[in-house]
Amino acid sequence: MIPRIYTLAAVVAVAAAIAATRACGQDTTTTPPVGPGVRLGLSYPRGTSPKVVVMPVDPTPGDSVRTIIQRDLDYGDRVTPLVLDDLTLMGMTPANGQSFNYPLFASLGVAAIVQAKRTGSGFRVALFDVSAGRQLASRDFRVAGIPPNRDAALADSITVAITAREKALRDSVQRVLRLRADVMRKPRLTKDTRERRFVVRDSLRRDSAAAAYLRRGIARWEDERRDSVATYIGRSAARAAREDSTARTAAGEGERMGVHGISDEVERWITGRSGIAASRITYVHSGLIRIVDSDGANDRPLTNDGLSLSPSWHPTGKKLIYSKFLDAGGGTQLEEIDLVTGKIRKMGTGGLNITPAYSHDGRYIVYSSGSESGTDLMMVNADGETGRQRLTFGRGTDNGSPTFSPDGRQIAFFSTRSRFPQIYTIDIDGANLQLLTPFTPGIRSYRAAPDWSPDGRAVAFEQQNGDFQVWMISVRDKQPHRLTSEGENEGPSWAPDGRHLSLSSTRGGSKQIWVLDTESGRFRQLTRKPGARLSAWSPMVRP
Amino acid sequence: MHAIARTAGVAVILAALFAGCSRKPVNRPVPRRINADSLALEQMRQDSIARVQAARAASAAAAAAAAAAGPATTAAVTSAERTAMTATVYFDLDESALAEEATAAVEAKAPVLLRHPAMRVRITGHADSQGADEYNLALGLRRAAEVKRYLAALGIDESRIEIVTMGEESPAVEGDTEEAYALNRRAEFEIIAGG
Repeated sequence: MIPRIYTLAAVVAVAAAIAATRACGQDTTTTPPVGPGVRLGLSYPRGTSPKVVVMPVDPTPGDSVRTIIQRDLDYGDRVTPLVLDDLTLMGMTPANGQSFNYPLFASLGVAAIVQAKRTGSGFRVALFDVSAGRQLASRDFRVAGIPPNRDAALADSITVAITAREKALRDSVQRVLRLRADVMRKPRLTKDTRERRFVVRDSLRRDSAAAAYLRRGIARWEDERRDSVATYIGRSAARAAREDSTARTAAGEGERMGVHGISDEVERWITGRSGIAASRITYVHSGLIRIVDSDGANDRPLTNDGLSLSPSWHPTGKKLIYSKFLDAGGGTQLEEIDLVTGKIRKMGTGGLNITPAYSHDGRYIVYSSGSESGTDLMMVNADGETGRQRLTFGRGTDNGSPTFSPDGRQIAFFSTRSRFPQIYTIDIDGANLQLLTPFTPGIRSYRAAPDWSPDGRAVAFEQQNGDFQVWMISVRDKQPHRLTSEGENEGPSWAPDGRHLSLSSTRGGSKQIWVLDTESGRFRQLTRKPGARLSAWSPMVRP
Repeated sequence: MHAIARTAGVAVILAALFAGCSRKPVNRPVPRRINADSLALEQMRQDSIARVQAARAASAAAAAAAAAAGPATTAAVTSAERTAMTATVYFDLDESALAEEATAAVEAKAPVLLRHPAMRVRITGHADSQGADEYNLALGLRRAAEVKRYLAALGIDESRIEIVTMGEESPAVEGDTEEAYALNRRAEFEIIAGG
């Protein structure tokens, strides 16, 4: 009984694999390339967050790819994924070759449907407009390091099993046939009828003996084949399950980023603006520089000892620069880590070297250098050694935490030149110093940790009025705007969309990195490491 | 007269403490739950505060002793001198200027350095955990630099003093209380040669 079930399963699996392939082959709709900022014409009320259903990607409940895309769309804060239970979804999945039951989706208030299907190299993703009842966009995505499809893996292993057994069968049949030929060759036919009759009878008997031998051989082979196919199926099912659970809990870094890329493109199809799921956040915990995906996955340390602070991204997103404390009395030095090779480059100059930042084109590093005569901004070529020049002359005051304007022409930083730290801007040659954050002299108002938004319009910073809170200020009209109020919130860093911020907050009890949507005020916790701080959001990760 | 002045001084300090309290966040933390652990923790915190306060008192006493000890010598550094030299100097919130008590503590170090010309020291500036971590690094350096500047003004060769900062990264007392903050805003002294 059991072997028959396996055979049945195998047949179903193979059929499913074939059906999937055919479905992919049929779906040849291509959409003309869409430029950035162009919406595809999905109709939903302006200023609302359209509801979207993400269809299951694999025919398994709670599959990881759908979960990742749903979560990304949710975290993007521009569309609302409608999370339906698997049974409901099963009823809403169209049979092969048929279209969606659009009125059914419309009755749930759904504006769009996202459907992703696995292909050999990644996914084919399509977006359907519910009110128009048609497909709006479709694109193939290459996703690196994707775990093999469970059905495909089964079909593969069955093919391997059958090929091996077929060879064994051919061999054994040939052996039987050779034997039979030998048997048939032996009796010599004479003209004696009786003898011939005997010979014929005898040969028939031998013939049937040979046939029985053949039958037995084939039967034995059947048994063996069944056993071995069962073994193969069992083994490959276990492997598929293992790979599937890996995919579910911690899919390879490459695959997760690939799926985030899909989410970002889907968000662009729907809203006209790309999402920020394919990005990472670096932060400091227990003195180590750590890195985490935008959805909180793949949280891992990059340094393994010592006390490091202030990680900052290279514009390519492939390198980080930070400052590291040396042994007692050794000061702090800048270090650069290559995220691809993991190699660390030390830029030892002696003394206090803190708060490094790359210029927008990656050609320069601006950082703070401290001495008895104060802490001032310095600029040096990307090699960390040549072309060093001083940008600020604070005369005993502190100047630090530089952040570039996205056009690369200005730097915002904190300075204590007016006693308490305030945010100032200068041109990159050190000229044209301007106060960005207005203050009343004599009244304590402490502002620090500035970060210039990617759209150039605002600078986020932390301000003390009793407790510490995150504010942003418009660069043009210098209008400050408070963003947080619960717990203490510090060290803001802009996401590439210029809308979300990562910051450290004690709102959950311990100090953790949280993500704030500055438009809706929604918070979500990114890290689960008490004492996490000094976060910096990466540029978009391009595969 | 003296007593009145002292009382006034205490009043000012108290006022400053209360003022400090009034600057607390609007969202007050939930009252701490009392259990064995929190009591032990509180005891540990009190002990560490007591230790630091004892060190402070000792440094003042040592300062007086050292001032009375006399001119330059090549003799070994006495334990009183060592205590005066390594006594911690404390700062006010977000300040690098030396307050009265801190000035006295630094002044007590000058005679030790003058009597032992081979002695070299390292000053490490610290900040409390309030405020921007990166700014606090600069603040710590500014505090150490201020002490060094004052010692130089008292006739100590600058090359004998090196300064570093730990920002808020190495607190003397753990915790988010005004007492802990006050004890963490400090400059620490380490004899690295000639002692």
